[in-house]
Amino acid sequence: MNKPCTNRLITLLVIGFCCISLVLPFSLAMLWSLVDPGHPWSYPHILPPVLSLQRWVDIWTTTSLPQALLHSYLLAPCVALCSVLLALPTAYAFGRLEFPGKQAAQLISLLPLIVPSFVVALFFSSLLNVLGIYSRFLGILIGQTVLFIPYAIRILSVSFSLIRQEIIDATRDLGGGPITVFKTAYLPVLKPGLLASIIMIFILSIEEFAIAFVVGSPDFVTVPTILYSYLGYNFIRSNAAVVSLILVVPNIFLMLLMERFLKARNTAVITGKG
Amino acid sequence: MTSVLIDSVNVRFGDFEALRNISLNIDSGTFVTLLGPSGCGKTTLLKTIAGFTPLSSGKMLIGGKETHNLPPEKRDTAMCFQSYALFPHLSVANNLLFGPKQKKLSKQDQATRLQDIASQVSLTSQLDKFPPELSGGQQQRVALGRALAIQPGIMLFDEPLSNLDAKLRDSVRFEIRQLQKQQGFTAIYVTHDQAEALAMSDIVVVMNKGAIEQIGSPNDIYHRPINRFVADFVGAANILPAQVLEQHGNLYRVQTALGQLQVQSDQAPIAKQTYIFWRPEDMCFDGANASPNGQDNIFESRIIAKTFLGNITECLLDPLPHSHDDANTTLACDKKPSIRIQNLGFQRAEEGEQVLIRVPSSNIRFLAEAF
Repeated sequence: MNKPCTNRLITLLVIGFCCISLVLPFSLAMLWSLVDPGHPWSYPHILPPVLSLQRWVDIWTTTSLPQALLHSYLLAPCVALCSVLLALPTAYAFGRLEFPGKQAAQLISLLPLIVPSFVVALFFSSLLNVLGIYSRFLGILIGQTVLFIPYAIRILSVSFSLIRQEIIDATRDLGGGPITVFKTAYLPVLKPGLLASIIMIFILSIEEFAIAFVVGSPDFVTVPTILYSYLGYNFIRSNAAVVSLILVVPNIFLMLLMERFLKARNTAVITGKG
Repeated sequence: MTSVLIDSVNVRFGDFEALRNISLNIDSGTFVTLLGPSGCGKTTLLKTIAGFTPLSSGKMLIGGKETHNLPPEKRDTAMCFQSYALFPHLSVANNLLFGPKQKKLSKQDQATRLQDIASQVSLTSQLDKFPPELSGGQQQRVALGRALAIQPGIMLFDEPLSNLDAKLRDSVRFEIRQLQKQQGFTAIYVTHDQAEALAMSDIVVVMNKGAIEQIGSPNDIYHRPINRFVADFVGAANILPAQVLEQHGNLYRVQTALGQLQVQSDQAPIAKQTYIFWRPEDMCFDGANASPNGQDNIFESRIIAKTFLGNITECLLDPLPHSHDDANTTLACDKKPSIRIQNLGFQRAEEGEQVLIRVPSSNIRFLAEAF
């Protein structure tokens, strides 16, 4: 097989994969969310008989979705910031220091990733009672931070390990104090990692259900807890479609933003050696 | 401008002794080379002077000031790194101005400094580019200019030419030496290349296994090495164990594996059993027309290998047993030494041929090392 032909085949495969995994579910969700409540979309209709924004209006006015959005988008940046700040010292140690037991410590720091979040959530909620933390917001904030710190540690320790000692030395050698060293040698290399972990944890926090549900319910709602209320035994596909679109669309933009930052900054990290 | 005094300095990393009892006095304005094989501690010594590596014991004065507790940013030193360590996110101009900015120079002074440095290292047309866009040689010059821009009393060079190709290395070597003479800074230059060390320095410090072997001018180091390590590391050397038999004035008769040789030396050997050495270019093929004063050593050899290098011809010789040698063979080692000879131009001798070799007795020296 010649080269252009192979390339075309691969392109087609990728496009096909994208269609099946992204475009199809999205357009279906879109269609379902636009189904008019008075005219159900059922067999033998290939397309919904009547399209309207009635579902969107209903959900916005009858449920606590506005409040849930506020909660989610207030929680997410706080969780992202807390996780990253708390992960920084550990990541520094993993990325830049040598100490006995480093391998084991790195492994242990990743353990929370393999424990199902519902298990964490159940024990965590009773722990909060013991500790006397009754604020729902604070409870979810702490819980999600604990859950997402491993991601931040993992990403940031790689960033820290990419910092070159000679650049630090050169900065100091030319008269730079600690602040200049941080700005010149650390920040340019850390920046993509910081952005990536903040955006990633932001998205994870927006989508997190277990802790938000166990700790927050019934009076503290987030977008996923509303979404899950439309699943299960009072399942309404159209309403679920609306909520899931509200949940997912901002995340896609954030993902694209993250991609851009990572690409734009990577050149500064890799090059510079003669 | 600035002198360095290093007094019995030790540096240990755990159990590993990186520097052992280093004492060195560097006068201001001299070009000093730290020469040695990799792992000899030369870069560690440079880093202790820069302030990156703390001393385990001993003391160090830079410009008469005790350096204990003085961080790198407060020292009057600037380093040229082996990997250049340029700031990849800053333009060439900002790389060059990095030091002056830290020193809080006025905008106007910065501009004139930038012009001066850029023309000194011929980068005037590259100021807006970023380091990754430059060639290796240009990056090297940015590194040099960046260090020069803070007008340090001491410039530290950590094998700055090792990433350049041979031609470029020669010209940059020359440029660095010129700059040093113009500006008069003290230079401490780390290299493992003996030719570089001999070509650039006022003083060469030969190091081995964390200690200093010899300190001297390039001429001293090359022609009067004190031991086998220095003789062998700096240039090629023919080194033989020798037993001193008798002395007439400054003429010594010694027994070696090649038979009896005459050594003319103003310096007495340090022991009866010592080492003698001579350089490959200190001997020649014209054994047949030796001078009549009888002070030349002549011996017969077979040529094992011959290499023509353009300006010189190098041969590996297998010395043949001396016909009129006495039976005193205590030193005729089980392994016969092979001898290297280098003569100018093209030499007619062929591989396998037997030739008469002449080593003038004044070209052989004693090493200050007994066995």
